[in-house]
Amino acid sequence: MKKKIPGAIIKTAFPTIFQKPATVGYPFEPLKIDDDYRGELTYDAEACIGCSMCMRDCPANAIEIINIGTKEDKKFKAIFHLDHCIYCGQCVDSCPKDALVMSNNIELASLDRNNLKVERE
Amino acid sequence: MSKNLVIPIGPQHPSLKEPACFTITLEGEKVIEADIGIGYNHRGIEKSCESRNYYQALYIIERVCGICSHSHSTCYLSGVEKLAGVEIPRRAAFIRTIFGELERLHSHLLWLGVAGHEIGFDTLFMYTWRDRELVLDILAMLCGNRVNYGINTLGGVRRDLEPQHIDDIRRMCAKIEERNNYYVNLALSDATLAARLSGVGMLSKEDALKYGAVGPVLRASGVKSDTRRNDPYLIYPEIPFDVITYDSCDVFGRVVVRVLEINESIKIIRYCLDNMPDGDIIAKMPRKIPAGEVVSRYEAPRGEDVHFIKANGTDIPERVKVRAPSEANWHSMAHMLKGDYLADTPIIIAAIDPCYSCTDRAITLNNAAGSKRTDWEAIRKHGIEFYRNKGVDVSRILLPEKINY
Amino acid sequence: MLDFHTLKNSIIERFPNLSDEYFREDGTRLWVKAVLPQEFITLFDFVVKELRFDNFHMTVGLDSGDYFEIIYLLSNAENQMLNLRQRTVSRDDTFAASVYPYFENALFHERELIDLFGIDVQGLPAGHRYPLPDKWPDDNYPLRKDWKTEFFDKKTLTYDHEAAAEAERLRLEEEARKKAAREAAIAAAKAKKAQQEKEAQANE
Repeated sequence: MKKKIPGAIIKTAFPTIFQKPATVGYPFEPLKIDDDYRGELTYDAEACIGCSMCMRDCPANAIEIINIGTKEDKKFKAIFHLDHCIYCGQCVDSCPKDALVMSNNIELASLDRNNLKVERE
Repeated sequence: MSKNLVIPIGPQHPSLKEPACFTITLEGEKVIEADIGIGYNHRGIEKSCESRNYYQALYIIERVCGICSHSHSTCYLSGVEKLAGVEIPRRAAFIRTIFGELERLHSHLLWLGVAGHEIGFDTLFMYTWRDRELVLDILAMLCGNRVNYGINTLGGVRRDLEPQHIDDIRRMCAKIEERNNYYVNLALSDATLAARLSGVGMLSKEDALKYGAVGPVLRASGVKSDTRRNDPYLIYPEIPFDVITYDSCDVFGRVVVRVLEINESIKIIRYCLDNMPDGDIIAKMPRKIPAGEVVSRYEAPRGEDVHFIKANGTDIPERVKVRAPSEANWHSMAHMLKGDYLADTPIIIAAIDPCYSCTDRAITLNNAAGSKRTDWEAIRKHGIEFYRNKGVDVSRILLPEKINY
Repeated sequence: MLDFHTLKNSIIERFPNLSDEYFREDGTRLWVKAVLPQEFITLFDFVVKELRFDNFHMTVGLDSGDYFEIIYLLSNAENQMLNLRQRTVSRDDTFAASVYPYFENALFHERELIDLFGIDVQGLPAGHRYPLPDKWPDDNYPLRKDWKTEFFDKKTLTYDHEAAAEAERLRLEEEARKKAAREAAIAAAKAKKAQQEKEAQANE
């Protein structure tokens, strides 16, 4: 065991006075976010076949797919509940037609709860 | 003969990260009795898993805790994959191990910072959390989120490691190893840290075994017990690493064990990167899991994590039970608090690295639309009444007059 | 090293009414079927004191329909894991023996069984309930299979028994209807096949 001396941190702490701070001045500076960060979902209505696998596998009941066309001529619309969503990406994996893709947009906070229920066609 | 003073610490307290109510009985400055009241973070996870299918339950189990999320998710999946009789591909096992060790790295660095903060050493807190950012940036790059990685899925992993990722991980390991040498030196040769933490929170080897302590708390009392060696899983049987123990049985020992475990984790990550095989990352899993019961164990950063899963042949689990490591350490903590001074209480509570979210597992969600706003006077009255029911009278504490609330 | 044969034999030798079919081996774990409280406490005493299974991991409560079961996970110094089970007599007689005298760290686990299942574990010291809040209403045991979260009002802390009974009645009706429809379809398919065979025979 080495001899115990107090103040061993001074040698390392002192140079940090001259170093750049480790904090990022967000939101005044942009935050570096990778491309495949898990953020808001995007929906491709053309590719969707309405199988509802995403609804079945969502842990938080955050996605709804509804048919806004007729029974013969189906057209689908998605409703995302951004406040329920846990951004796990299981719906993206479950979709057999790759109609759901996760973007890297994470700046979704809002002062009004109604803004967090978005509809995508 | 002085009367004993009963002090409540919690449920809201500056030194506690999450709510818990410790009722400490003092004689002078020494603690003679400690009563633990936990359950504030109970969230209904076990019940909610019984009405969700295995894919949904995976994400619910992952969110039992923020910093041991990969441990819970991997432990749960080891059980489900064993029931289904599916063996995951070797490359997936290597990737799961790398993530598990990265999680251990950032969890131990976090703990070092919290321990430094509890004893007033805020410089250590700033340093360790700055180094932890290097690990979190790598995790965000690999899996898309800093905590709750979501890398696991039934049958394997969801994302693969690219060659440039591997180079980044190696660079990060080199940096953390260099910084960690500094922490090891600090732990072993700084006189102030040793003086403050030695002899605090003593838990002898017999008591650690009797009260069922797990993880670094057990290893700092000289018991060589690690689930990665006792009940090996993934590829740990092949990896050469040391189980770190220390004989001092106090908080200082726990600091040393965790700091040295950071070095072992870096060794394990390097071994996995050097020997990673090619191949698939996911195996096909049935939707309906055959009936049966399984117990799986995992060495989380805080200790041994045990999951029990009972399946009934459908795609919804019958019973999922999680015993997080922090739950096993509470009794040893109650024992450790006795005989020490009140000023040591925060660091002793922090020394077992408590994860209150892991311990309790059910919530009742309050509908925010129905909440009511209240004012300071009503809150103060409610607080006084709450503690009076617990046998403690705080009404004589006066507030300063002119404060803008 | 992990030899369950000797372990099984030493238990059967002392407790001859536990035949071989009470045990199931599963890699590193040995599972034992459920026993009633009186027999369980002697078995537990034997396993902990004489076979030296002195590492207690956790308890798991199970709602098995007609009775409740509790699984105890123990392990020894050689890392063999033994899973013992205790069962209550019935759903109404919920007495279960406590293992607190052997393992003090079983306290929170047994309190959890009392709160969440309503199992009557006796012999625990006085203390706060865990994990449910103090204002929780009596006779509401969340982890029982017949207690559903959607019928519990979180504001007033009351369980709507009528709505739960109504939903259960509708569910049973729906199941009966589906079963009748399935049987009708099978009968129709059989009749059609018989008809086709008759026609084929008549054509020959």
